[in-house]
Amino acid sequence: MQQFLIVTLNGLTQAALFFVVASGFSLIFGLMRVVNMAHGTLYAVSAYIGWSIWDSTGNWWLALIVAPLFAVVVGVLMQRFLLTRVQGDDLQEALVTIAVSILVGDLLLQRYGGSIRQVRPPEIISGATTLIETESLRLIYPTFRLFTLFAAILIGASLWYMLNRTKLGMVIRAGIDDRPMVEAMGINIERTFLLVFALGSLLAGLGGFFGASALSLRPGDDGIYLLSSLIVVIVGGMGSLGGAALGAVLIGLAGQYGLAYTPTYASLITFVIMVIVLAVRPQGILGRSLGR
Amino acid sequence: MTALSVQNLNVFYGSAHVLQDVSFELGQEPVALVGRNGMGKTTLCNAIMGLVPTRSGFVTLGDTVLTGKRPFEIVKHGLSYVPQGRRIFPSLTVHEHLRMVDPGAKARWTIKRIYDLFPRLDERRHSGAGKLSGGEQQMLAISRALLLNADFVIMDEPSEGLAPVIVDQLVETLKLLAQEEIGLLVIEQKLAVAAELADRMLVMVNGQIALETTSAEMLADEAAQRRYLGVGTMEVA
Ligand SMILES: Nc1ncnc2c1ncn2[C@@H]1O[C@H](COP(=O)(O)OP(=O)(O)OP(=O)(O)O)[C@@H](O)[C@H]1O
Ligand SMILES: [Mg+2]
Repeated sequence: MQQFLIVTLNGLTQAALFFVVASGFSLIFGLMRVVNMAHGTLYAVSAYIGWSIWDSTGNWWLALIVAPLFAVVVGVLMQRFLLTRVQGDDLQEALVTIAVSILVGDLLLQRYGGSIRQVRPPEIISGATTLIETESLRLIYPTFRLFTLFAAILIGASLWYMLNRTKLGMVIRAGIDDRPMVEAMGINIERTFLLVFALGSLLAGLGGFFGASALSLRPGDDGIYLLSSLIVVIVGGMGSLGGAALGAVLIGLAGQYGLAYTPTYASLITFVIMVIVLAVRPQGILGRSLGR
Repeated sequence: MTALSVQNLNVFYGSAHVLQDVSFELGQEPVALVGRNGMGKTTLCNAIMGLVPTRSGFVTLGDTVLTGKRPFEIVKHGLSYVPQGRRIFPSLTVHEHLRMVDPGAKARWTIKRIYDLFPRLDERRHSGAGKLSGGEQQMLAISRALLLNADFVIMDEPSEGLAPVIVDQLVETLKLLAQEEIGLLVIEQKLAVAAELADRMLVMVNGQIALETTSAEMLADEAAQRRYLGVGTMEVA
Protein backbone atom coordinates (compact mmCIF):
# COMPACT_ATOMS: atom_id res chain seq x y z
CA MET A 1 0.00 0.00 0.00
CA GLN A 2 2.73 2.40 0.98
CA GLN A 3 4.72 1.59 -2.11
CA PHE A 4 1.67 2.05 -4.29
CA LEU A 5 1.01 5.50 -2.85
CA ILE A 6 4.63 6.55 -3.29
CA VAL A 7 4.66 5.32 -6.86
CA THR A 8 1.42 7.21 -7.50
CA LEU A 9 2.90 10.40 -6.08
CA ASN A 10 6.02 9.91 -8.19
CA GLY A 11 3.80 9.48 -11.21
CA LEU A 12 1.92 12.65 -10.39
CA THR A 13 5.15 14.60 -9.89
CA GLN A 14 6.33 13.44 -13.26
CA ALA A 15 2.91 14.29 -14.68
CA ALA A 16 3.15 17.79 -13.22
CA LEU A 17 6.41 18.40 -15.06
CA PHE A 18 5.10 16.83 -18.25
CA PHE A 19 2.01 18.98 -18.04
CA VAL A 20 3.82 22.27 -17.57
CA VAL A 21 6.23 21.55 -20.43
CA ALA A 22 3.66 19.97 -22.77
CA SER A 23 1.05 22.70 -22.28
CA GLY A 24 3.56 25.15 -23.73
CA PHE A 25 4.28 22.81 -26.62
CA SER A 26 0.59 22.30 -27.25
CA LEU A 27 -0.19 26.01 -27.16
CA ILE A 28 2.47 26.75 -29.76
CA PHE A 29 1.35 23.91 -31.97
CA GLY A 30 -2.34 24.68 -31.56
CA LEU A 31 -2.09 28.28 -32.65
CA MET A 32 0.86 28.32 -34.97
CA ARG A 33 0.91 24.74 -36.28
CA VAL A 34 4.61 24.72 -35.51
CA VAL A 35 6.01 21.50 -34.15
CA ASN A 36 8.74 23.09 -32.11
CA MET A 37 11.46 20.44 -32.01
CA ALA A 38 13.51 22.75 -29.81
CA HIS A 39 10.92 22.74 -27.03
CA GLY A 40 12.96 20.30 -24.92
CA THR A 41 15.98 22.48 -25.51
CA LEU A 42 14.18 25.41 -23.93
CA TYR A 43 13.56 23.13 -20.94
CA ALA A 44 17.29 22.35 -20.75
CA VAL A 45 18.41 25.97 -21.22
CA SER A 46 16.37 27.07 -18.24
CA ALA A 47 17.41 24.07 -16.16
CA TYR A 48 21.14 24.58 -16.69
CA ILE A 49 21.07 28.36 -16.40
CA GLY A 50 18.92 27.99 -13.31
CA TRP A 51 21.50 25.62 -11.89
CA SER A 52 24.27 28.17 -12.58
CA ILE A 53 22.37 31.00 -10.94
CA TRP A 54 21.54 28.85 -7.94
CA ASP A 55 25.10 27.53 -7.74
CA SER A 56 26.72 30.96 -7.84
CA THR A 57 24.23 32.97 -5.75
CA GLY A 58 22.63 30.29 -3.63
CA ASN A 59 19.34 32.06 -4.31
CA TRP A 60 16.78 29.52 -5.56
CA TRP A 61 13.96 32.04 -5.93
CA LEU A 62 16.12 34.31 -8.06
CA ALA A 63 16.95 31.36 -10.30
CA LEU A 64 13.25 30.44 -10.50
CA ILE A 65 12.45 33.87 -11.87
CA VAL A 66 15.46 34.47 -14.10
CA ALA A 67 16.18 31.06 -15.63
CA PRO A 68 12.83 30.61 -17.46
CA LEU A 69 13.33 34.10 -18.92
CA PHE A 70 16.38 32.76 -20.74
CA ALA A 71 14.18 30.11 -22.30
CA VAL A 72 11.81 32.91 -23.33
CA VAL A 73 14.64 34.86 -24.94
CA VAL A 74 15.87 31.85 -26.90
CA GLY A 75 12.31 30.94 -27.95
CA VAL A 76 11.37 34.45 -29.01
CA LEU A 77 14.60 34.98 -30.96
CA MET A 78 14.02 31.68 -32.73
CA GLN A 79 10.45 32.62 -33.63
CA ARG A 80 11.25 36.19 -34.61
CA PHE A 81 14.36 35.61 -36.69
CA LEU A 82 14.17 32.02 -37.90
CA LEU A 83 10.62 30.67 -37.91
CA THR A 84 9.02 33.74 -39.50
CA ARG A 85 11.22 33.11 -42.53
CA VAL A 86 9.88 29.62 -43.10
CA GLN A 87 6.33 30.19 -41.86
CA GLY A 88 3.80 27.69 -43.13
CA ASP A 89 6.40 25.20 -44.36
CA ASP A 90 6.16 22.33 -41.89
CA LEU A 91 9.33 20.57 -42.99
CA GLN A 92 11.47 23.68 -42.87
CA GLU A 93 10.03 24.65 -39.50
CA ALA A 94 10.94 21.24 -38.14
CA LEU A 95 14.43 21.44 -39.62
CA VAL A 96 15.07 24.93 -38.27
CA THR A 97 13.98 23.97 -34.77
CA ILE A 98 15.98 20.74 -34.89
CA ALA A 99 19.03 22.77 -35.91
CA VAL A 100 18.52 25.09 -32.95
CA SER A 101 18.13 22.13 -30.62
CA ILE A 102 21.37 20.53 -31.82
CA LEU A 103 23.32 23.77 -31.63
CA VAL A 104 22.09 24.78 -28.20
CA GLY A 105 22.33 21.21 -26.93
CA ASP A 106 26.00 21.04 -27.88
CA LEU A 107 26.71 24.43 -26.37
CA LEU A 108 25.16 23.25 -23.11
CA LEU A 109 27.18 20.05 -23.22
CA GLN A 110 30.36 22.01 -23.81
CA ARG A 111 29.63 24.38 -20.97
CA TYR A 112 28.24 21.94 -18.40
CA GLY A 113 29.67 18.56 -19.37
CA GLY A 114 27.90 15.27 -18.87
CA SER A 115 27.56 14.98 -15.12
CA ILE A 116 24.23 14.78 -13.34
CA ARG A 117 23.31 17.90 -11.44
CA GLN A 118 20.59 18.88 -9.06
CA VAL A 119 19.33 22.16 -7.75
CA ARG A 120 18.55 22.16 -4.04
CA PRO A 121 15.43 24.17 -3.22
CA PRO A 122 15.37 26.38 -0.10
CA GLU A 123 14.65 24.99 3.37
CA ILE A 124 10.95 25.80 3.61
CA ILE A 125 10.07 23.82 0.53
CA SER A 126 12.64 21.03 0.84
CA GLY A 127 12.95 18.17 3.27
CA ALA A 128 10.15 15.69 3.78
CA THR A 129 6.50 16.02 4.62
CA THR A 130 4.52 13.42 6.51
CA LEU A 131 1.27 12.94 4.65
CA ILE A 132 -0.22 10.00 6.53
CA GLU A 133 0.75 8.76 9.96
CA THR A 134 -1.23 5.84 11.39
CA GLU A 135 -0.18 2.62 13.08
CA SER A 136 -0.39 0.64 9.90
CA LEU A 137 0.67 3.25 7.37
CA ARG A 138 3.29 5.95 7.32
CA LEU A 139 3.62 8.07 4.19
CA ILE A 140 6.50 10.52 3.93
CA TYR A 141 7.18 12.35 0.72
CA PRO A 142 9.73 14.97 -0.43
CA THR A 143 8.22 18.38 0.24
CA PHE A 144 9.54 19.87 -2.96
CA ARG A 145 7.76 17.31 -5.10
CA LEU A 146 4.50 18.23 -3.42
CA PHE A 147 5.37 21.85 -4.06
CA THR A 148 5.94 21.00 -7.73
CA LEU A 149 2.50 19.40 -7.90
CA PHE A 150 0.98 22.47 -6.32
CA ALA A 151 2.87 24.78 -8.68
CA ALA A 152 1.70 22.80 -11.71
CA ILE A 153 -1.90 23.10 -10.60
CA LEU A 154 -1.42 26.83 -10.08
CA ILE A 155 0.16 27.19 -13.52
CA GLY A 156 -2.63 25.16 -15.08
CA ALA A 157 -5.27 27.31 -13.39
CA SER A 158 -3.56 30.51 -14.55
CA LEU A 159 -3.39 29.19 -18.09
CA TRP A 160 -7.04 28.23 -17.94
CA TYR A 161 -7.92 31.72 -16.76
CA MET A 162 -5.82 33.36 -19.45
CA LEU A 163 -7.33 31.20 -22.20
CA ASN A 164 -10.93 31.48 -21.06
CA ARG A 165 -11.28 34.86 -19.45
CA THR A 166 -8.93 37.26 -21.19
CA LYS A 167 -9.01 38.85 -24.61
CA LEU A 168 -5.62 37.31 -25.42
CA GLY A 169 -7.07 33.91 -24.63
CA MET A 170 -10.02 34.53 -26.93
CA VAL A 171 -7.68 35.54 -29.74
CA ILE A 172 -5.60 32.41 -29.18
CA ARG A 173 -8.63 30.11 -29.21
CA ALA A 174 -10.06 31.84 -32.25
CA GLY A 175 -6.66 31.56 -33.91
CA ILE A 176 -6.62 27.81 -33.29
CA ASP A 177 -10.01 27.66 -35.08
CA ASP A 178 -9.30 29.93 -38.04
CA ARG A 179 -6.14 31.98 -38.18
CA PRO A 180 -6.75 34.12 -41.29
CA MET A 181 -10.18 35.09 -39.99
CA VAL A 182 -8.62 36.43 -36.79
CA GLU A 183 -6.47 38.71 -38.89
CA ALA A 184 -9.53 39.77 -40.83
CA MET A 185 -10.91 40.92 -37.47
CA GLY A 186 -8.18 43.55 -37.36
CA ILE A 187 -5.96 41.60 -35.00
CA ASN A 188 -2.22 41.41 -35.53
CA ILE A 189 -1.83 37.67 -35.24
CA GLU A 190 1.94 37.84 -35.74
CA ARG A 191 2.18 39.68 -32.46
CA THR A 192 -0.01 37.07 -30.83
CA PHE A 193 2.31 34.40 -32.26
CA LEU A 194 5.25 36.04 -30.57
CA LEU A 195 3.38 36.25 -27.27
CA VAL A 196 2.33 32.63 -27.50
CA PHE A 197 5.85 31.57 -28.35
CA ALA A 198 7.09 33.51 -25.35
CA LEU A 199 4.48 31.89 -23.15
CA GLY A 200 5.20 28.40 -24.47
CA SER A 201 8.92 28.95 -23.91
CA LEU A 202 8.25 30.25 -20.41
CA LEU A 203 6.35 27.07 -19.61
CA ALA A 204 9.19 24.91 -20.95
CA GLY A 205 11.58 26.99 -18.87
CA LEU A 206 9.53 26.71 -15.69
CA GLY A 207 9.28 22.98 -16.25
CA GLY A 208 13.05 22.81 -16.69
CA PHE A 209 13.88 24.58 -13.49
CA PHE A 210 11.30 22.63 -11.50
CA GLY A 211 12.58 19.41 -13.05
CA ALA A 212 16.16 20.23 -12.09
CA SER A 213 14.98 20.91 -8.54
CA ALA A 214 12.51 18.05 -8.06
CA LEU A 215 14.39 15.35 -9.96
CA SER A 216 17.71 16.00 -11.62
CA LEU A 217 19.39 17.47 -14.64
CA ARG A 218 21.44 15.57 -17.16
CA PRO A 219 22.32 15.60 -20.84
CA GLY A 220 19.49 14.10 -22.81
CA ASP A 221 16.76 15.70 -20.72
CA ASP A 222 15.98 17.96 -23.68
CA GLY A 223 15.18 14.93 -25.84
CA ILE A 224 13.17 13.26 -23.08
CA TYR A 225 10.97 16.28 -22.50
CA LEU A 226 10.49 16.92 -26.20
CA LEU A 227 9.42 13.33 -26.69
CA SER A 228 7.16 13.37 -23.64
CA SER A 229 5.57 16.62 -24.81
CA LEU A 230 4.87 15.04 -28.18
CA ILE A 231 3.35 11.95 -26.59
CA VAL A 232 1.32 13.92 -24.07
CA VAL A 233 -0.29 16.12 -26.71
CA ILE A 234 -0.81 13.22 -29.10
CA VAL A 235 -2.62 11.34 -26.34
CA GLY A 236 -4.45 14.31 -24.83
CA GLY A 237 -5.17 16.29 -27.99
CA MET A 238 -3.21 19.06 -29.70
CA GLY A 239 -3.99 22.61 -28.65
CA SER A 240 -6.14 21.55 -25.69
CA LEU A 241 -5.17 22.51 -22.16
CA GLY A 242 -7.35 19.84 -20.58
CA GLY A 243 -5.87 17.38 -23.03
CA ALA A 244 -2.35 18.26 -21.95
CA ALA A 245 -3.32 17.73 -18.31
CA LEU A 246 -5.03 14.42 -18.98
CA GLY A 247 -2.25 13.20 -21.25
CA ALA A 248 0.39 14.19 -18.71
CA VAL A 249 -1.33 12.35 -15.86
CA LEU A 250 -1.82 9.24 -18.00
CA ILE A 251 1.75 9.16 -19.26
CA GLY A 252 3.26 10.19 -15.92
CA LEU A 253 1.41 7.51 -13.97
CA ALA A 254 1.84 4.82 -16.59
CA GLY A 255 5.58 5.47 -16.66
CA GLN A 256 6.00 5.20 -12.89
CA TYR A 257 3.66 2.22 -12.41
CA GLY A 258 5.51 0.54 -15.25
CA LEU A 259 8.88 1.17 -13.66
CA ALA A 260 7.69 -0.12 -10.31
CA TYR A 261 5.70 -3.16 -11.33
CA THR A 262 6.91 -4.27 -14.76
CA PRO A 263 10.32 -2.65 -15.23
CA THR A 264 11.02 -4.65 -18.37
CA TYR A 265 8.02 -3.27 -20.22
CA ALA A 266 7.91 0.19 -18.64
CA SER A 267 8.77 2.17 -21.74
CA LEU A 268 6.50 0.01 -23.83
CA ILE A 269 3.38 0.95 -21.84
CA THR A 270 3.61 4.58 -22.90
CA PHE A 271 3.73 3.61 -26.53
CA VAL A 272 0.89 1.14 -26.16
CA ILE A 273 -1.26 3.96 -24.77
CA MET A 274 -0.24 6.15 -27.66
CA VAL A 275 -1.00 3.49 -30.26
CA ILE A 276 -4.42 2.78 -28.76
CA VAL A 277 -5.33 6.47 -28.71
CA LEU A 278 -4.11 6.96 -32.26
CA ALA A 279 -6.12 3.98 -33.43
CA VAL A 280 -9.34 4.86 -31.62
CA ARG A 281 -9.24 8.65 -31.48
CA PRO A 282 -6.52 10.06 -33.71
CA GLN A 283 -7.17 13.67 -32.68
CA GLY A 284 -6.34 12.79 -29.05
CA ILE A 285 -8.68 12.10 -26.15
CA LEU A 286 -9.80 15.72 -25.73
CA GLY A 287 -8.75 16.98 -29.15
CA ARG A 288 -11.12 18.31 -31.72
CA SER A 289 -10.64 16.87 -35.16
CA LEU A 290 -8.63 19.33 -37.17
CA GLY A 291 -10.96 19.13 -40.13
CA ARG A 292 -10.18 22.19 -42.17
CA MET B 1 -16.54 59.68 -48.41
CA THR B 2 -13.46 58.16 -50.01
CA ALA B 3 -13.96 55.40 -52.47
CA LEU B 4 -12.61 51.89 -52.48
CA SER B 5 -10.98 51.33 -55.81
CA VAL B 6 -9.79 48.12 -57.42
CA GLN B 7 -7.51 48.56 -60.41
CA ASN B 8 -6.37 45.84 -62.79
CA LEU B 9 -6.16 43.22 -60.07
CA ASN B 10 -4.62 39.89 -61.07
CA VAL B 11 -4.52 36.81 -58.90
CA PHE B 12 -3.09 33.39 -59.66
CA TYR B 13 -3.46 30.08 -57.84
CA GLY B 14 -0.33 28.38 -59.09
CA SER B 15 -0.64 28.77 -62.83
CA ALA B 16 -4.41 29.30 -62.79
CA HIS B 17 -5.20 32.91 -63.60
CA VAL B 18 -8.20 33.30 -61.29
CA LEU B 19 -8.66 37.08 -61.34
CA GLN B 20 -7.94 38.83 -64.61
CA ASP B 21 -7.56 42.60 -64.65
CA VAL B 22 -10.46 43.22 -62.33
CA SER B 23 -11.30 46.91 -61.92
CA PHE B 24 -14.19 48.71 -60.26
CA GLU B 25 -14.95 51.45 -57.78
CA LEU B 26 -17.06 51.27 -54.70
CA GLY B 27 -18.48 54.35 -53.06
CA GLN B 28 -21.39 55.03 -50.81
CA GLU B 29 -23.82 53.20 -53.06
CA PRO B 30 -24.12 49.45 -52.41
CA VAL B 31 -22.89 47.14 -55.15
CA ALA B 32 -23.87 43.54 -55.81
CA LEU B 33 -21.46 41.16 -57.46
CA VAL B 34 -23.02 38.09 -59.04
CA GLY B 35 -21.69 35.19 -61.02
CA ARG B 36 -21.71 31.43 -61.25
CA ASN B 37 -19.86 29.07 -58.95
CA GLY B 38 -16.11 29.12 -59.24
CA MET B 39 -15.92 32.38 -61.18
CA GLY B 40 -13.60 34.04 -58.66
CA LYS B 41 -15.96 36.05 -56.45
CA THR B 42 -14.55 34.78 -53.16
CA THR B 43 -11.03 35.16 -54.50
CA LEU B 44 -11.77 38.81 -55.22
CA CYS B 45 -12.94 39.35 -51.62
CA ASN B 46 -9.90 37.60 -50.26
CA ALA B 47 -7.60 39.59 -52.51
CA ILE B 48 -9.11 42.89 -51.39
CA MET B 49 -8.78 41.85 -47.74
CA GLY B 50 -5.15 40.82 -48.18
CA LEU B 51 -5.94 37.17 -47.52
CA VAL B 52 -4.54 35.95 -50.85
CA PRO B 53 -1.50 37.45 -52.56
CA THR B 54 -2.03 39.46 -55.72
CA ARG B 55 0.23 39.27 -58.75
CA SER B 56 -0.38 42.80 -59.98
CA GLY B 57 -2.84 45.66 -59.72
CA PHE B 58 -3.92 47.80 -56.82
CA VAL B 59 -6.60 48.16 -54.23
CA THR B 60 -6.76 51.68 -52.85
CA LEU B 61 -8.90 53.40 -50.28
CA GLY B 62 -8.76 57.11 -50.97
CA ASP B 63 -5.05 57.79 -51.24
CA THR B 64 -3.99 54.72 -49.29
CA VAL B 65 -2.74 51.70 -51.20
CA LEU B 66 -4.04 48.58 -49.46
CA THR B 67 -2.37 46.04 -51.73
CA GLY B 68 0.51 44.34 -49.97
CA LYS B 69 -0.71 45.24 -46.50
CA ARG B 70 -1.54 42.60 -43.91
CA PRO B 71 -5.26 41.85 -43.43
CA PHE B 72 -5.33 43.39 -39.96
CA GLU B 73 -3.89 46.62 -41.34
CA ILE B 74 -6.47 46.66 -44.11
CA VAL B 75 -9.18 46.33 -41.48
CA LYS B 76 -7.66 49.23 -39.56
CA HIS B 77 -7.94 51.34 -42.71
CA GLY B 78 -11.68 50.82 -42.74
CA LEU B 79 -12.65 47.58 -44.44
CA SER B 80 -14.40 44.66 -42.84
CA TYR B 81 -15.33 41.25 -44.07
CA VAL B 82 -18.17 38.77 -43.68
CA PRO B 83 -16.76 35.67 -45.35
CA GLN B 84 -18.51 32.95 -47.28
CA GLY B 85 -19.55 30.13 -44.97
CA ARG B 86 -19.56 32.62 -42.05
CA ARG B 87 -16.38 31.22 -40.51
CA ILE B 88 -17.35 31.96 -36.93
CA PHE B 89 -15.02 30.57 -34.27
CA PRO B 90 -16.56 27.39 -32.81
CA SER B 91 -14.34 27.62 -29.70
CA LEU B 92 -15.78 30.98 -28.68
CA THR B 93 -19.16 31.94 -27.27
CA VAL B 94 -21.29 34.58 -28.94
CA HIS B 95 -20.24 37.15 -26.39
CA GLU B 96 -16.57 36.29 -26.75
CA HIS B 97 -16.76 36.96 -30.48
CA LEU B 98 -17.93 40.45 -29.73
CA ARG B 99 -15.55 41.04 -26.85
CA MET B 100 -12.64 40.04 -29.03
CA VAL B 101 -13.27 43.07 -31.22
CA ASP B 102 -14.91 45.32 -28.60
CA PRO B 103 -14.53 48.88 -29.90
CA GLY B 104 -15.50 50.45 -26.56
CA ALA B 105 -18.57 52.42 -25.59
CA LYS B 106 -17.86 55.51 -27.70
CA ALA B 107 -17.81 53.82 -31.07
CA ARG B 108 -20.66 54.03 -33.54
CA TRP B 109 -21.30 50.31 -33.29
CA THR B 110 -21.03 49.01 -29.75
CA ILE B 111 -21.69 45.59 -28.28
CA LYS B 112 -24.84 46.98 -26.72
CA ARG B 113 -26.10 48.23 -30.04
CA ILE B 114 -25.46 44.83 -31.59
CA TYR B 115 -27.53 43.14 -28.90
CA ASP B 116 -30.30 45.68 -29.43
CA LEU B 117 -30.26 44.98 -33.15
CA PHE B 118 -30.10 41.20 -32.72
CA PRO B 119 -31.97 40.27 -29.51
CA ARG B 120 -31.54 36.65 -30.52
CA LEU B 121 -27.78 36.96 -30.05
CA ASP B 122 -28.32 38.58 -26.68
CA GLU B 123 -30.40 35.59 -25.58
CA ARG B 124 -27.68 33.25 -26.71
CA ARG B 125 -24.69 35.27 -25.65
CA HIS B 126 -23.17 32.48 -23.61
CA SER B 127 -23.79 29.74 -26.16
CA GLY B 128 -20.90 28.27 -28.07
CA ALA B 129 -20.97 29.83 -31.52
CA GLY B 130 -20.73 26.40 -33.11
CA LYS B 131 -24.12 25.52 -31.62
CA LEU B 132 -25.96 28.41 -33.26
CA SER B 133 -28.29 27.94 -36.21
CA GLY B 134 -27.12 29.07 -39.63
CA GLY B 135 -29.07 32.31 -39.40
CA GLU B 136 -27.73 33.09 -35.95
CA GLN B 137 -24.20 32.39 -37.12
CA GLN B 138 -24.71 34.80 -39.98
CA MET B 139 -25.96 37.47 -37.56
CA LEU B 140 -22.85 36.88 -35.49
CA ALA B 141 -20.54 37.10 -38.50
CA ILE B 142 -22.19 40.37 -39.48
CA SER B 143 -22.05 41.66 -35.91
CA ARG B 144 -18.36 41.17 -35.47
CA ALA B 145 -17.76 42.87 -38.81
CA LEU B 146 -19.93 45.83 -37.75
CA LEU B 147 -18.03 46.19 -34.48
CA LEU B 148 -14.93 46.95 -36.51
CA ASN B 149 -16.75 50.17 -37.42
CA ALA B 150 -15.53 50.03 -40.97
CA ASP B 151 -16.42 52.38 -43.82
CA PHE B 152 -16.87 49.44 -46.17
CA VAL B 153 -18.19 45.97 -45.54
CA ILE B 154 -17.58 43.13 -47.96
CA MET B 155 -20.06 40.27 -47.65
CA ASP B 156 -19.60 36.99 -49.44
CA GLU B 157 -22.91 35.20 -49.99
CA PRO B 158 -24.54 36.15 -46.69
CA SER B 159 -27.83 34.48 -47.62
CA GLU B 160 -26.26 31.13 -48.51
CA GLY B 161 -27.95 28.22 -46.77
CA LEU B 162 -30.52 30.32 -44.92
CA ALA B 163 -34.27 29.78 -44.81
CA PRO B 164 -36.32 32.31 -46.84
CA VAL B 165 -37.76 34.01 -43.73
CA ILE B 166 -34.29 34.48 -42.33
CA VAL B 167 -33.10 35.85 -45.66
CA ASP B 168 -35.83 38.49 -45.50
CA GLN B 169 -34.66 39.57 -42.06
CA LEU B 170 -31.10 39.64 -43.31
CA VAL B 171 -32.05 41.92 -46.18
CA GLU B 172 -33.75 44.31 -43.78
CA THR B 173 -30.64 44.40 -41.61
CA LEU B 174 -28.31 44.99 -44.51
CA LYS B 175 -30.44 47.85 -45.78
CA LEU B 176 -29.62 49.50 -42.48
CA LEU B 177 -25.99 49.69 -43.54
CA ALA B 178 -26.82 52.00 -46.42
CA GLN B 179 -28.61 54.32 -43.99
CA GLU B 180 -25.53 54.21 -41.79
CA GLU B 181 -23.42 55.36 -44.74
CA ILE B 182 -21.47 52.15 -44.79
CA GLY B 183 -20.38 51.08 -48.25
CA LEU B 184 -21.41 47.55 -49.13
CA LEU B 185 -20.05 45.07 -51.63
CA VAL B 186 -22.27 42.05 -51.50
CA ILE B 187 -21.64 38.81 -53.36
CA GLU B 188 -24.96 37.11 -53.95
CA GLN B 189 -26.17 34.07 -55.85
CA LYS B 190 -29.83 34.87 -55.37
CA LEU B 191 -30.65 37.51 -57.93
CA ALA B 192 -33.75 38.70 -56.08
CA VAL B 193 -31.76 39.25 -52.92
CA ALA B 194 -28.99 41.02 -54.80
CA ALA B 195 -31.56 43.29 -56.45
CA GLU B 196 -33.08 44.23 -53.10
CA LEU B 197 -29.73 45.20 -51.68
CA ALA B 198 -28.16 47.06 -54.57
CA ASP B 199 -29.09 48.80 -57.79
CA ARG B 200 -25.61 48.63 -59.17
CA MET B 201 -24.61 45.16 -60.27
CA LEU B 202 -21.35 43.66 -61.46
CA VAL B 203 -21.25 40.29 -63.17
CA MET B 204 -18.18 38.13 -62.90
CA VAL B 205 -17.32 35.49 -65.49
CA ASN B 206 -14.09 33.51 -65.39
CA GLY B 207 -12.26 35.97 -63.22
CA GLN B 208 -13.29 39.05 -65.16
CA ILE B 209 -15.94 41.67 -64.65
CA ALA B 210 -17.91 40.73 -67.75
CA LEU B 211 -20.74 43.18 -67.33
CA GLU B 212 -21.73 46.17 -65.31
CA THR B 213 -25.46 46.70 -65.18
CA THR B 214 -28.34 47.46 -62.86
CA SER B 215 -30.37 44.97 -60.90
CA ALA B 216 -33.53 46.05 -62.66
CA GLU B 217 -32.07 45.38 -66.09
CA MET B 218 -30.72 42.02 -65.03
CA LEU B 219 -34.04 40.99 -63.52
CA ALA B 220 -35.80 41.90 -66.73
CA ASP B 221 -33.35 40.18 -69.05
CA GLU B 222 -33.75 36.43 -68.95
CA ALA B 223 -31.26 35.90 -71.73
CA ALA B 224 -28.56 37.67 -69.73
CA GLN B 225 -29.48 35.65 -66.65
CA ARG B 226 -29.04 32.45 -68.59
CA ARG B 227 -25.84 33.63 -70.16
CA TYR B 228 -24.09 35.04 -67.12
CA LEU B 229 -25.65 33.24 -64.25
CA GLY B 230 -26.67 29.91 -65.71
CA VAL B 231 -30.05 28.36 -65.50
CA GLY B 232 -30.56 26.27 -62.41
CA THR B 233 -27.56 27.55 -60.47
CA MET B 234 -29.30 30.87 -59.95
CA GLU B 235 -32.44 31.07 -57.90
CA VAL B 236 -34.52 33.98 -59.07
CA ALA B 237 -37.17 33.68 -56.39
N1 LIG C 1 -7.04 28.01 -52.46
C1 LIG C 1 -7.22 27.72 -53.76
N2 LIG C 1 -6.25 27.09 -54.48
C2 LIG C 1 -6.43 26.82 -55.78
N3 LIG C 1 -7.53 27.11 -56.47
C3 LIG C 1 -8.53 27.72 -55.83
C4 LIG C 1 -8.44 28.05 -54.44
N4 LIG C 1 -9.58 28.65 -54.06
C5 LIG C 1 -10.35 28.70 -55.16
N5 LIG C 1 -9.73 28.14 -56.21
C6 LIG C 1 -10.26 28.05 -57.58
O1 LIG C 1 -10.35 29.38 -58.07
C7 LIG C 1 -11.56 29.56 -58.79
C8 LIG C 1 -12.37 30.67 -58.18
O2 LIG C 1 -12.82 30.27 -56.89
P1 LIG C 1 -13.71 31.20 -55.97
O3 LIG C 1 -13.87 30.50 -54.68
O4 LIG C 1 -13.12 32.55 -55.95
O5 LIG C 1 -15.07 31.21 -56.77
P2 LIG C 1 -16.48 31.76 -56.32
O6 LIG C 1 -16.95 32.60 -57.46
O7 LIG C 1 -16.43 32.39 -55.00
O8 LIG C 1 -17.37 30.45 -56.27
P3 LIG C 1 -18.62 30.08 -55.32
O9 LIG C 1 -19.82 30.71 -55.94
O10 LIG C 1 -18.70 28.60 -55.41
O11 LIG C 1 -18.33 30.57 -53.96
C9 LIG C 1 -12.27 28.21 -58.79
O12 LIG C 1 -11.97 27.57 -59.99
C10 LIG C 1 -11.65 27.49 -57.62
O13 LIG C 1 -11.65 26.11 -57.87
MG1 LIG D 1 -17.35 32.01 -53.27
